[in-house]
Amino acid sequence: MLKIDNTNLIYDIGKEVQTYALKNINLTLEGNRMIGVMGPSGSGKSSLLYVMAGLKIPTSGTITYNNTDLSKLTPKKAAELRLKDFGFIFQRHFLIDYMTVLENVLTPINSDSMEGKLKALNLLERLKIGHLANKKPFQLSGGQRQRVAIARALINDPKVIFADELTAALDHKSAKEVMDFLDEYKRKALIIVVTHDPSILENADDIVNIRDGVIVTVDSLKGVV
Amino acid sequence: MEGNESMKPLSPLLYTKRNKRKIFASINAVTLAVAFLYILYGFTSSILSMEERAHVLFYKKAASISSFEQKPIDKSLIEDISKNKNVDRIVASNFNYGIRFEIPGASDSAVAVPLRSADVDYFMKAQGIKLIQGNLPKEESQEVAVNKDIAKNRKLKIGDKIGDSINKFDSIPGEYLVVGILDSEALTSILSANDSILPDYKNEEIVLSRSFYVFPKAGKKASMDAYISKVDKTRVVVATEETSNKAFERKLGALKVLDVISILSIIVMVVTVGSTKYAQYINRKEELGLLNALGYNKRNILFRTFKEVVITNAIGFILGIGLGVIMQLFNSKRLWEPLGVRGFLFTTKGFVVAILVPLFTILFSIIPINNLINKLDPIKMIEKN
Repeated sequence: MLKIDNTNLIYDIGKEVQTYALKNINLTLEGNRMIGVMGPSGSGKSSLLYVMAGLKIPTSGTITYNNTDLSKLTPKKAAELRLKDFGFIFQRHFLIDYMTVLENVLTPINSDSMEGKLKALNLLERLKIGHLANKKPFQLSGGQRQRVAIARALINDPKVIFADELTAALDHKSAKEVMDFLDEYKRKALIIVVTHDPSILENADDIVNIRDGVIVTVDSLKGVV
Repeated sequence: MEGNESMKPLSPLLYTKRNKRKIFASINAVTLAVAFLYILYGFTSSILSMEERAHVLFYKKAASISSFEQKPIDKSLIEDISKNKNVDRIVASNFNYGIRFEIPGASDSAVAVPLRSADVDYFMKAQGIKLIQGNLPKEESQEVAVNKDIAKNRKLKIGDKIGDSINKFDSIPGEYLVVGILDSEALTSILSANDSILPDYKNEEIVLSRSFYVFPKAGKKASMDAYISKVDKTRVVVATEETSNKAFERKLGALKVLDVISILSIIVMVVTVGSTKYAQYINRKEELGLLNALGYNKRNILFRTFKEVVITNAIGFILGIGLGVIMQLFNSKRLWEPLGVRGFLFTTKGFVVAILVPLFTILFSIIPINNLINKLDPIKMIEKN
C-alpha cells in the first residue's frame, strides 16, 4: 500500500515567492491495479510520481509504503527498496549505450544466470523485440528503446511500477501495444502511469487528475481509490 | 555475439571489454609510465653494477694500505699487520693505475694492479681471478692481462695495446700489450711489475713501504677489516670494504635525481590519467544516475567504478612491466652485453617504483569520482531529459 498524507513539495523555500509543486496531497493507492495520473505540463504529476517513489523528498507530509515512512529511510535503505520492490519507466529510455538490449534489461538484477536471461528474453518476446536481444541501443528505434526500458522495469518483478510519460516517444499504435502489455501486468503489481494523453489510459482502473500541484479529482473507473 | 558472453551487466570487466577505445588512453599512459620507470631503474642498475664491480667488490676480499703524504710506511707497522692472526698475507703493489671504461651514463676506471711474479698466483686465487685466454704478464715487461668485461668494453683482444699513449684517460703510463684475458667478479686487471709502475719492485721491503694489499685468513675478513680500521690514520691511508662501500654510497647519492624523475613521472601520470578518468565518469553521469534511480546505492556504484579503475590500471601495469622487461631484454643484448655490462631484466626497486604509478593513479582517480558519485542526483538527471 502506498499512502500520501498532507504532502507538500515546495520550491524556492525562503524566497519571497514560493512555488508549490505539490500542495496538500492526500492519496491512498492499494491493490494491483493501474492508476493514471493526468494533468497538463507543469501540473506536478511527475513530481507526485517521484515523491511516491521516494526519489524526491517532500517538504512536508509523509509517504508510507507498506507502513514504511519513505522519508525516514537512509539513502541506502531507500535504494534497496527501489531495487527490490519498484520498477521505473522514465520518459526517456536511459539505456546504457555499451550494453546489449539483453544486458540492459538484466541491469536491475545484475544477473548472468540462465534463468535471468530466459526471463529477460521472455519479456522482450512479449514486447515483440526478442529478436533484438543482442543489439545495442543505438541500433534501435525510439519505440524499441522504450520497450527495452519497460522490460528492464519489469525484470525484478516489482510490486509497484512508476511510469512517467512512457509513451511519449511512441506512435499511437506502439503506445497502445505497450499499454495493453502493462494491462496484462497489472494483475501482479500496482502500476502508476503519469501522462497528459488520456487515450492511453483506457485500461486504467482509476485516474488522478492533478492541476497546479493539487489533486482536482480522482475518477474511479473500475474500483475504489 | 556480445549478448552470449556470460558476464553480469554491471561487471567492470564487461565495461572494460566494451569500451576498449575509451580506456585505451588511460591504459596507454599507465603502460608507458610503468615501462619508463622500470627501464630507468634497470638502466641505473646496470651502471651501478659496473661501478660496484670496478670499486667495491675488490674490497670484499682484501684491504689496502698506502703511505700517507708519501712518508714511507713504518716497518714495525708492516710487520704488525703481516703477523696479525687474521691476516693471511700482504702483497706489495701500487694502487694508482686504472683502465678507462665507458658506458652509457658513466665513464670510469677499473683497477689495474701491478704485481710481482711471486705474488700473482696468490693474488689471483685470493681474488677469484681466472686466466681464460692468453698468458699472464711477465715481470720487467710492459704487459697486461685485462678483465674480460673491460676488454669487451674497450674492444680489446690479445695483441692490442692500452695505456695513456693509446687512450689519454688510461691511468697507465705509456703502452702495455694485452697478453691475457681474465675473468672475475671484480673488474681487476693485472699489470707487469716493472720499474716504471712499481719502482724497486725487486726489493719487496721498499715496495711494501709505499703500498700493499692485505688478504685475510679464511673466514677472517670481518676481523681483519676491524683490525685494519684501527690502524693510525695519521700514518697511513687505509681502504677496507667499509670505506669502499661508503665511497660507493656517496656516488649513489648523486642518483637521487632518479627519485625526483620518478616522482615527477608519477605526478604527471596521476594528473593525466586521473583527469582522463574523471572526464570519462562525467560523461557517464547519466548511467550512474540511472543505476542510483533503479536502486543501486552510491556505495555499490563507487565500488563498481573503483573496480573499473583498478582493472584499467592493472592492465596498464601488466603491459608496462611486460614492455619494460622486453626493452630490458633488448637493452641487455644490444646495449649492455657488448660493453661488458650486466643487463637486469628485473630490479626490485624498478618494480616497486613502477607499482606506485597505478597505486597513486587509482587513489587520485577515485577521490574525484567519489565526489562526483556523492553529488549524484538521479532526479535531476531524469528531469533534465
